[in-house]
Amino acid sequence: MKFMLGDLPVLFPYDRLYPEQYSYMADLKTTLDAGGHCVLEMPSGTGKTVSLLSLIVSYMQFYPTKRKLIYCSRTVPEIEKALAELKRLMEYRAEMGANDGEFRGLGLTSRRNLCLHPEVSKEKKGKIVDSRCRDLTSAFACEKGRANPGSVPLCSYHEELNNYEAGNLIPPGIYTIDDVKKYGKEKGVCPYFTIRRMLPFLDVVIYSFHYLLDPKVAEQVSAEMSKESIVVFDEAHNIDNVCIESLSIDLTRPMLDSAARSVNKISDKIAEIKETDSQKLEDEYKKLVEGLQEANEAREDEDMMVSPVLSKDMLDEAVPGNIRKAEHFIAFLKRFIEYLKTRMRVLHVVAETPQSFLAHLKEITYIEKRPLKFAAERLTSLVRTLELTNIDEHYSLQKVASFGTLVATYEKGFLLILEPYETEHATVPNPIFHFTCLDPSLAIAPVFERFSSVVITSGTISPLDMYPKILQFRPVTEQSYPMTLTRNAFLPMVITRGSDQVPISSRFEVRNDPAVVRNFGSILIDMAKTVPDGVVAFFPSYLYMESIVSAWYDMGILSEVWKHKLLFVETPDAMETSIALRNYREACNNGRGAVMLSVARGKVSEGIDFDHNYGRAVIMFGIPYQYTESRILKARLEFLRDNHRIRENDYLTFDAMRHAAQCVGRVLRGKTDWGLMVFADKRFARTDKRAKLPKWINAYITEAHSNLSTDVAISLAKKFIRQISQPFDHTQTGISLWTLEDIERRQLQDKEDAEKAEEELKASTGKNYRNGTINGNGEGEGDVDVDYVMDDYEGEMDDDELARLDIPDDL
Amino acid sequence: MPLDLNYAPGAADEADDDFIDDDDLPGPSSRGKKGGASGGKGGGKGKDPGRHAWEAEYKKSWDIVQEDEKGSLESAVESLLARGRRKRALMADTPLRRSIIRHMFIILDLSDSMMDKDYRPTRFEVILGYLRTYVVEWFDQNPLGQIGIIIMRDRLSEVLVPMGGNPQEILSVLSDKRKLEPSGEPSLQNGLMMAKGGMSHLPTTSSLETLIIFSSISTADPDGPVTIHNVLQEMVDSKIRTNILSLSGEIKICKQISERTNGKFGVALDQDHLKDLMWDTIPPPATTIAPPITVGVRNALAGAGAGQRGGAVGKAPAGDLMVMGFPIQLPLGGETLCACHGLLKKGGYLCPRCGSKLCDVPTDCEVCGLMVVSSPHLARSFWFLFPVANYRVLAIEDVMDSINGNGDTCFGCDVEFPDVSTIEEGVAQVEDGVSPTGRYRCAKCRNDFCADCDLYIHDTLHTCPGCSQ
Repeated sequence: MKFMLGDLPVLFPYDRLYPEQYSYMADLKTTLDAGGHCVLEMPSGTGKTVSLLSLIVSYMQFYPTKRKLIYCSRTVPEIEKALAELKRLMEYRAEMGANDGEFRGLGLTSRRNLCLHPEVSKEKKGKIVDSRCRDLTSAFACEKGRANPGSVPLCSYHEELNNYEAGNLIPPGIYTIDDVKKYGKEKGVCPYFTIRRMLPFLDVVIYSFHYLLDPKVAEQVSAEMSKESIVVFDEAHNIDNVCIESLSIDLTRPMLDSAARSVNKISDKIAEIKETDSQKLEDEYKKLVEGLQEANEAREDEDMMVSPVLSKDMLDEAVPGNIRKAEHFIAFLKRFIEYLKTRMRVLHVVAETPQSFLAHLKEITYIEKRPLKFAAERLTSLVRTLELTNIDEHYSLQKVASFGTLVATYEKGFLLILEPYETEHATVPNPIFHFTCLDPSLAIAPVFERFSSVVITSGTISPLDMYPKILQFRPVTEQSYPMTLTRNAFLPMVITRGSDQVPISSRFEVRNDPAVVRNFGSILIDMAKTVPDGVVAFFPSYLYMESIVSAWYDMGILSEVWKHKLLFVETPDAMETSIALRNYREACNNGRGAVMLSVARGKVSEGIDFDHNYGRAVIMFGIPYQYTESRILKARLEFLRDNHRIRENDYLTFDAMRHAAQCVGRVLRGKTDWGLMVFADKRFARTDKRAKLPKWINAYITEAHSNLSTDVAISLAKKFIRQISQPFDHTQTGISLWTLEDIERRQLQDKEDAEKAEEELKASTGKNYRNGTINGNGEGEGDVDVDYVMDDYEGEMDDDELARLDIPDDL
Repeated sequence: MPLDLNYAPGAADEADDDFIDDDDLPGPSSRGKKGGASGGKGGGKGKDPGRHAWEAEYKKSWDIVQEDEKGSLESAVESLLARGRRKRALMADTPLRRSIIRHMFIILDLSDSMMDKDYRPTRFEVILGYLRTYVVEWFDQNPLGQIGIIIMRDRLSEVLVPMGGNPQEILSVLSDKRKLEPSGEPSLQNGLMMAKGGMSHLPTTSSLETLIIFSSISTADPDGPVTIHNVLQEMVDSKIRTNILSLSGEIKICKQISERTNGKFGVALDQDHLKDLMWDTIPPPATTIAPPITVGVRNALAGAGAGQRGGAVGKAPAGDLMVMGFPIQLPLGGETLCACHGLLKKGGYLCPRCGSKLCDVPTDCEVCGLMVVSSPHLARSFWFLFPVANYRVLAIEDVMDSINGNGDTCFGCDVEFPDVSTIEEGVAQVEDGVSPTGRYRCAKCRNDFCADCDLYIHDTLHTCPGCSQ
């Protein structure tokens, strides 16, 4: 349908619209108009993606500036879903006669998902695919291969691309990842490089967070994006962690050993080249004297060997003299690796700032800060000069070099932590050297600086004010939308006590108390008995899950659960987990029913949807607090307290509750879906915890359901399940589905509100009228009332007609 | 209740009427009794204590019944009644081809979960009780049908009663609780396999159905190459309609099975709702048309058959032919051996083809396999082909206009209608489908009936007393 949002005609590819989608689009438009950033929370399954896309595409096409859209999502399936949605939208726009001209939209993902090369595509690991592809497509290989065909194996798909006009490698239109692959197969071109080279010409780009946030990739991929682009981070509730990860590096002993081996290999290679082709090394030396920038000019599609620091921190000067010569650089690396090895022999925990690390480094090895800064760049240059193949072998060495560069570049917001033992009770040392970023705003700052509009959105991103604080930006709009439902599709319950009235909690002091463990167990048994099909249970950590499951086994609780459902457990191993998930799904499909025991921060809680029968209930055993004894976390908390004035407890609760919300949100993936949400911990009853849950969940936790014992909760659950299983008409037109008339009615209402506000303004000057309208747009509770209110008016004025009159005015 | 006694003769030409005692009138008739009483009360404001049956009926369903502003439940009850009427109005409007000859397996879940006490005293007791009345009512409405019972427990399934047309046999088995002790888990796959096997010999002309009463929340199926999805596909292929009533909640596989096989899936909110859902399966379902066997004969008769059905099924192919025989009833003289049980019994029927003695009709003759029916059975099976048209709800004005034409009493039961002039405006505001004047008029014979009679005629009697006079 087509409707007007202010002066902007919006084409929406469905006949009906959810009220929250309307508010979402209205707020989004306000933000884009104002040219600022925003944080928006809308429940999953209410068509967030389609509202985003349809508004932004309409916006892009209507206004002459033709801003681009960069849409970042988290996983490949999500990217694929967004592309399919966009494709549908564009088809609809074409049907409606919108002239979009040469509109292009593509999604970028890793080589592993896109490769067509008959041998390379069979590789399973992303790193190996990348490195093998690079061997076949790197600039020097191509040069050699073209000059002397057959001397070097080349990828025919990549070569074929040269026959196409740059900027027109693929005809205009929207291509999903599968479409591009199909196109590539047909024409014999490489899908990956097609997309990579087309990036500057695209109107819509959909890819993963890392392409914008991770400096190792961002510089390569996203540098050419215009400043006017609209950037959207979908599923962004974990964006701070992504930022931190992209600037953090962990080193282990085996990595150092492997790095040392790489160094030796490279030095052999240098010796070999010196004998055969010393000219090459000479050339490189000269280039390095001239400066780094020129040295990098030749590079094209090598996104692996790049600097790990942000572009603005990259130095625009020549490489220091003492590492210009290849031999010297190798010696330098050897020294650095040896130094790190000695550091790792220490058997107590060390936490130090980059400065003190550098001072100590200088004392022992005479390595200065400046050359260290250039370690990663210098290594890249060397690798290119030596024309090394199989770069993945040197992965560890790259890490070490990146580590050096990062340590030398950043002083503030980082910490070095050496942990000699993996766990507290371990006796065999397995040291890990963490270089951790404490400030997520560092990685995202360039994005906020560069792009005028950044939209951060997710199904669970409460409390909204936390994100601007930790990411250091100022949003124009912060809004959370409720879910309008004509029936209560989910039942959140807080269980604070067992049937024996013993309070339950995963607090450290009581978590292994047999009474608590038993009561957790009885919740699981009763839920398994009551809820059909799939049940998902989340624990705060793997460790706790292990201990509690083994306790349950001893108590005979597991065998009781087995009577009703099969049991599957998530493990840190991705392979095992995916097998468990597959079997879990099967058990849910054939009626056996199953319980999935998983961990709140695990893979399952983040990326897997438990829609419909795959998740009829989700149980949170305890509050998923982070392991507070972790030194990295402690350092981060300290940093937040000192720099952003966020109290430790606030941050911990925020982090725990967003994970809890993320977990329980897994079961409700749409308006036809239903599920139970059980929060089993007495601390969930406290309002300070509950207030941090997303509005759409919190609104349904009534007082009566916020302090239950197990038996009461089970009887409520039974009743709920029977109620919700009744046949239901899902065409909820008017209340939670709007037609064009409803929208126009709403707009009229808004206008009236605005007028009223204006009158009030006249009456009492000084109040901001604009704020009034914005709030009016987002006000959730008003949604249902609209119909009634307008019904009253209908006698006096024909609002349809009025609304129709509105349109020409706006046009 | 005078109301039901008056109409008992109507049902009494049934061969199996002796199982119906007045207190235990099953199904819609009893619902009609209870619901109708309240409707009558709404109109007549009677203070008869016996009429408070609805209080027990709706006591537990707080969610459905809400008091109106006067604190009375009348309007709520009436709206419930109205919902029933509207539902019927919707159903009757669509002419459908239905099977007279139904074969149904009732698959009963006898797992541990049947001992759950959320129904009083237990699910098991309640369901057995319902099943007994259900079977009687079912045979009452579908005299040519046959029922078998399969039970699922301990992951096994077992044919409790083989397919047969005699409700008495089924009732006697159902009354033996010791043999039905619930245990273990159910296996839906085994149950369905068993039902499919038990119906594989049946002709495609009859409607093959299963009714699964599922109490558990999961099914424990055997491991092996055959999964429940294969069985489901076989059920779809052999056109066995599967209705599933769950006592616990929506279970994906159950919903999938019933949807794929054109059946219904229902979840019972409470005991009464379960009963409603069960009784909903009593009227014959619309058939999925099976390929006819006797094509030649069918074509010869197609013209005549189509005319009779009044074009309602103009597009559908005419039905298949089948062989039936009307037996000769034996006098209650000396005892002779029957062919079906091999017992000495008085009375009985003689198969018209082979002359063997059968205890009861309708049945398939043990000797020659002929379907032996009595003509009243056949006649009663036709009720849904010529349903009584819905009566028109009379508004106050209508009654004012035609007050002289009809008397002040119901044509069916002689109960006096409320005086039109005293009817309050408030009562007239109830939802459509319920008459504010308490009168319902047959369009054909133009007689007025009360709400109770309206329900009774449409749900049980299936013939309008006014028109048939």
